[in-house]
Amino acid sequence: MGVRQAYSMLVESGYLIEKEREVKLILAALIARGHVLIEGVPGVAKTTIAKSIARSLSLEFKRVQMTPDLLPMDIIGYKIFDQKTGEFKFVKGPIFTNILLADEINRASPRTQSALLEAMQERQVTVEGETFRLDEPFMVLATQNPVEMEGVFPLPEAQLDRFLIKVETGYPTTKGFTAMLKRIDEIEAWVESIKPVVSREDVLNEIKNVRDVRVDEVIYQYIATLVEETRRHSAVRLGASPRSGIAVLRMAKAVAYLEGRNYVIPDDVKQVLVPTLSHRLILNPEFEIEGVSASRIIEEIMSKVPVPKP
Amino acid sequence: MTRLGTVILILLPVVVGVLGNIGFTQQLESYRHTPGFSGYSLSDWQEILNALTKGNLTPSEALMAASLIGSLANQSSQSQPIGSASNASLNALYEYFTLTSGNFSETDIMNAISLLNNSNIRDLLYSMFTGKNVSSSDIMQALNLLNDMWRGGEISTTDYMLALKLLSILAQSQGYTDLSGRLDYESMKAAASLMNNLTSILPNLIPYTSQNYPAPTGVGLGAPPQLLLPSLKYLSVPQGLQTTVVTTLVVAAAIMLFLLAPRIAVKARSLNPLAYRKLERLLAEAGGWGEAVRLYWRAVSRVETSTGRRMLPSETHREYYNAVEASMGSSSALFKRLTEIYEARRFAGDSRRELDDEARRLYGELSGKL
Repeated sequence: MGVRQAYSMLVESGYLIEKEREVKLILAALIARGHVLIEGVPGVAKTTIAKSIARSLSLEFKRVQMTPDLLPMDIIGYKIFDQKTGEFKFVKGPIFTNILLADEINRASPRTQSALLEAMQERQVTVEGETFRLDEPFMVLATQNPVEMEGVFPLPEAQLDRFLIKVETGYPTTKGFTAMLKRIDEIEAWVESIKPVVSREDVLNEIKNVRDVRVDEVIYQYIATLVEETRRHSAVRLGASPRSGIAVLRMAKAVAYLEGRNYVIPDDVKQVLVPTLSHRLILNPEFEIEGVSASRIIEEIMSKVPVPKP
Repeated sequence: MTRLGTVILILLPVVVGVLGNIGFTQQLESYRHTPGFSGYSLSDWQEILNALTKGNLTPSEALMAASLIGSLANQSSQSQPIGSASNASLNALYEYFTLTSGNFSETDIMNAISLLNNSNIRDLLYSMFTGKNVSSSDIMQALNLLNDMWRGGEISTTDYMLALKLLSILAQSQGYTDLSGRLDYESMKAAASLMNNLTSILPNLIPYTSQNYPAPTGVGLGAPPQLLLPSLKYLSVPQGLQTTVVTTLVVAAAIMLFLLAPRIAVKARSLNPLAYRKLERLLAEAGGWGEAVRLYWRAVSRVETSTGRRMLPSETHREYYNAVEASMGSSSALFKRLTEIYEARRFAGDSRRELDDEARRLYGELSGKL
């Protein structure tokens, strides 16, 4: 069993109605050693998706509800004086886990966000000069509400860049919504009853396997062209960086692996381009006012750049 | 190569050619029409002519005109490229402009009188200038005589123009200002007519073929621009306008090309996908991906013809299969497998020979069904 099986189990259960794409991207990010930002308005199953994935994997899972008064030590941990031993003892925070669900990350203060994001980048935390390595695999699943304006601290671009992908999840279709209403009690019970199908070792092995996925020369060129095109687009003030291109490659390899292939095809690149780049582009204000989104720009670029042929 | 680089490469020869031609033409025209007086040119000639036609040539303009005509008369008398009548006209104009400028002496007046061809007019004006107490009626009488002779074709335009100017000076000296102004006005009209006649033969005044005109400089292209645009050197439009029009056109073309080049390229490629497909097949063969890849692209051409749905440049092989699957009917399974083989050979690096055999069989079956 592996992450592929977890994906099949979650999708085939039929309980995550119209969230198959989100599940695939989050699992791909896990085996690509990345972190995920899930964005959506309240009530679109952001937390349910995160919980379901975490439960299907035999990995340690912790959840932190971000609030403005949350301190960095509440996440990282702190040292207290042990009267018995006469020494300071480190009490680990919730960050010492495999999957951390940081719910409503934009409600935390910038200081707390920074502490979390530093751990995401370095995969280690330092408390009073002492460094503690985080367990592998380690993934942060952060959620945020894009329309909330009061009492939130939007993540700066540099911190958004720490997330490998941003998954935008929206409302279901009428058909999907109706099916969900009919089965809501079953769905809730199913989420609580999910049994892990993947061990920690399996996940670590799959992370190694993803690195060996074959990438043809033309795929590298295709990714480079797509990324460079974001810098040439008239609506884009700040285009995608080389790090973004690396993220696209890693995600494309992970998606190919999740679909049972050991090679990347142009479809994999197309599939991951919007979630990988949309949070990294900064648009010109005049286009933003007109309602142009980064996702639309990326889709436009994909429709213009020729796919590698023959 | 960047879009800007491509546009620059396309436009560079055009700009260089046009600038070279302009540089050469301007230098040639300047030399032909202003020998030894680089400060004057065709535009000066035009300016003088306009002022004369309106009857308001100022003394400073007259002085500039005298200098310009004098240099032309001097040049043409040395090389004699035009007839004696034209030479006489240039001499008369020179005297006329000298008198109009106000900067003249008694000798200039005598010279002007001596240039008159008609002896009756010459004698009449000589006597009027050397006599005493010329009245306004004397001047009017002389004017009527001049008009009668002019209308009767007894005197030339040169004589008429000079005689009017001399009478104007005489009237001014006697205090008949209004009469002098009227005579001046009439003389300018006659001078304009004379200059108009000379304009038509202006390019012949100093024939460039007989001169050692300077080598074209431009931007160093030399003769090729002339060969490309030989008529440009005969243009008699003002140089400023010529340069402005050509430069504006080049800049406008550059901007248009810069903005439209990518769209034109995309349109051209989507308008002619068959040629694009042919190119892809050639690349497939050149790439050495084997028969399976080549057969896939052949199959795509057949499916395109059969379904009427062309594969877009930005479309992947899977996307294209999904787009045509419904309209292919029972043959879609064959095309699906061919697409899988293409994917395995092209992106998975699967070089098994069996794939070629299977692709050959699938293509044969697909061709029979489509």
